[in-house]
Amino acid sequence: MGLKYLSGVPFLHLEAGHVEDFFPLMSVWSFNRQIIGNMTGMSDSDIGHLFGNGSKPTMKVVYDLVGTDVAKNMGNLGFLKNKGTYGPYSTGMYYTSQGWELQDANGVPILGGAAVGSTGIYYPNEGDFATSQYLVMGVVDNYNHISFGVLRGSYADVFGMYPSNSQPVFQQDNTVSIESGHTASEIYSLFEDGDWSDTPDPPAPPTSEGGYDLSNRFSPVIGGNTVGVYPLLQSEVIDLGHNLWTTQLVTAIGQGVGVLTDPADMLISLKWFYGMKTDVANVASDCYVVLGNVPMDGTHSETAITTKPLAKEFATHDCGTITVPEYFQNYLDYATKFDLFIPFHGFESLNASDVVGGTISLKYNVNMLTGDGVAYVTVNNPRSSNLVVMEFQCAGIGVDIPFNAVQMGNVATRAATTIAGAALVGASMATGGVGLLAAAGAAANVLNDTPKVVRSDRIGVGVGYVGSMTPRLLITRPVKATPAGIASVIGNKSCEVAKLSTKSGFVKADAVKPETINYGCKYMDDIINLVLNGVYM
Amino acid sequence: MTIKLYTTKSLPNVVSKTLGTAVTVTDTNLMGEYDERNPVIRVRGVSNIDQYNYFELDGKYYFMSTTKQSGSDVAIIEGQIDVLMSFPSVVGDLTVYIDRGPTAEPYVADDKDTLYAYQNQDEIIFSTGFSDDVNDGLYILMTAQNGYKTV
Repeated sequence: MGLKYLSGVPFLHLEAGHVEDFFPLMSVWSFNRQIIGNMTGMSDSDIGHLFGNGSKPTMKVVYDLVGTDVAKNMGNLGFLKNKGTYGPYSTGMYYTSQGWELQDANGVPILGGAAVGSTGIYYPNEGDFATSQYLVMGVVDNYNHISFGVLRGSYADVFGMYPSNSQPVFQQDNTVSIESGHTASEIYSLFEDGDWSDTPDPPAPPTSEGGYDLSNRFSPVIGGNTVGVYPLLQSEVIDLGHNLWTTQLVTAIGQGVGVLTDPADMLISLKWFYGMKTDVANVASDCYVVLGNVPMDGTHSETAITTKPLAKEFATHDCGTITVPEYFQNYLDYATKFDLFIPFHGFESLNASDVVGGTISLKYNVNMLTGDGVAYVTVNNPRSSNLVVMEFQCAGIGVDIPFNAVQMGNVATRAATTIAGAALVGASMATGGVGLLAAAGAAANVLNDTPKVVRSDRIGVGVGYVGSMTPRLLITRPVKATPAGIASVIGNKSCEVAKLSTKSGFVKADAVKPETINYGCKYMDDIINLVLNGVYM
Repeated sequence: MTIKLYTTKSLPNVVSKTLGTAVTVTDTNLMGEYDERNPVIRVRGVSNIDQYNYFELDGKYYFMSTTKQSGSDVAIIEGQIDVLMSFPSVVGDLTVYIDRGPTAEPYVADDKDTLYAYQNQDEIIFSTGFSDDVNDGLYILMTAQNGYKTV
């Protein structure tokens, strides 16, 4: 059992494998939001196990509840289940050693409660408490304190000690022994430091940032020291163009190689990278741009150009992380389509189960010499415990800058080649081929089975820089037409096994547990038929 | 034989029906053989039998399926047993697998939900893309050279 936060409210998280540690006497409990079992008639010791490890509960909390929150919080006083019209969490299990009652702000009793030493299930009615200012449950030593034992099922796999969303005041002179290994101070600090709002916590940060860390990867081109790689500002590139063919510079370069040489022959490539100025790693020292043997240091009637050369030919561009909210907070979130636009690549469909309630991070590893790269998409979903890392090839992150006719021809040829290549890749994907999918590796499991809409071509073919360069998640949600209030007519979609007497409202059963059929009643077939067609309990 | 006549607005499939004020009639007799499921009873002393739609007989409850006013205060009523109201504990003791009920399971698809043909679109923008601004970008020049020369 560990301490954990959920939905902004601290609680003791009981994981499936440790439930019995905390509920040694409650093996009948189900953990799919169903409470099965007879909670009445439990002994004080039984309850003590739930609230205080076998002894009378010793931790005290005062709840300050206002208005309609009262019933909701009343429901949090114990093991909870739905009681229909009484609200979402309205069944509370109580145990009293001193009795309980509802008091107003002046401590005057409004409503009496259970007898001293009794146990049972309490069904608070919101109307009973709507005007109350204080709800005080006394289970320890007076009417001003409530025991700590509050449980709720928030998700299908979670039950926990849940102190509701009201403000607790702890009695610091008391100790608590929830389970061995957890001290009172741990519990106190958990609650005192907690965020008591109902606003759900953002998903936990990704446990992996995804992608490959290239910071330690050897840079083979720069490491070979046969070329110079210089980051330049716009003004410096303009200076370069203005000074490239000064007579003295041409002569100096020609002297270096023994023949008259076009200085442009010393330029291997020039590329522009949008938004990546701070992404590159530079050497510590300023250097002159060197063409062949000749530094542009201002001694050849040219303007000196100095910069800190790149230390590595790889750079990482981090586009950040977005959080995908649970919009509907029901199954429709998983009927929603998610398409991620990746600049220099295009749209990719994501699996709703991976992204709903989770985060999506996008990073690029870029080769600053070729202008190509790989986009890493990391989808981290603490709800489903899914962590998916996808990688997508990107091209044209660096914009080729021609500096003579030959270079211009190369740029055009490259664009034509890459577009044709992309068309082949697209055709491969459309026909179910393995092309890019195989190369993408982990990406395959997040692609929708049958993408129905093509939102873009694979634009990472060298022309991405004239498309959008802002990554975004396009969300296509279904729109529910079902009228409000339909639950009162046909009930809610349920998925539980329960005794009918515990239900209030419309119930339509799919099956009846044979052992509970009273075969002594000669109208049993009629009753079962009615239950299968829906009855109002 | 005593019966109690009621008026109820509750649906037939409500287990615990809300009943109006009971009118007790003692001047009654069975028509034909007693059929607990569908008894036929002649009642006297009730001037307008049509205002009732429900009755209680011998601890069991019946829908008044047909009525015939055969005189100013004589009527013949035919009942159909209401098994839900008559045997509430038998109903309540049943443990069932609930398909639809008061407790919603939001993450199970509801086959009763209807969706509009159109869909809504939304967008979440990443905080950082690739800036258009010249001051945020950089040129990378690669040259053939014979080593760097520091300033």
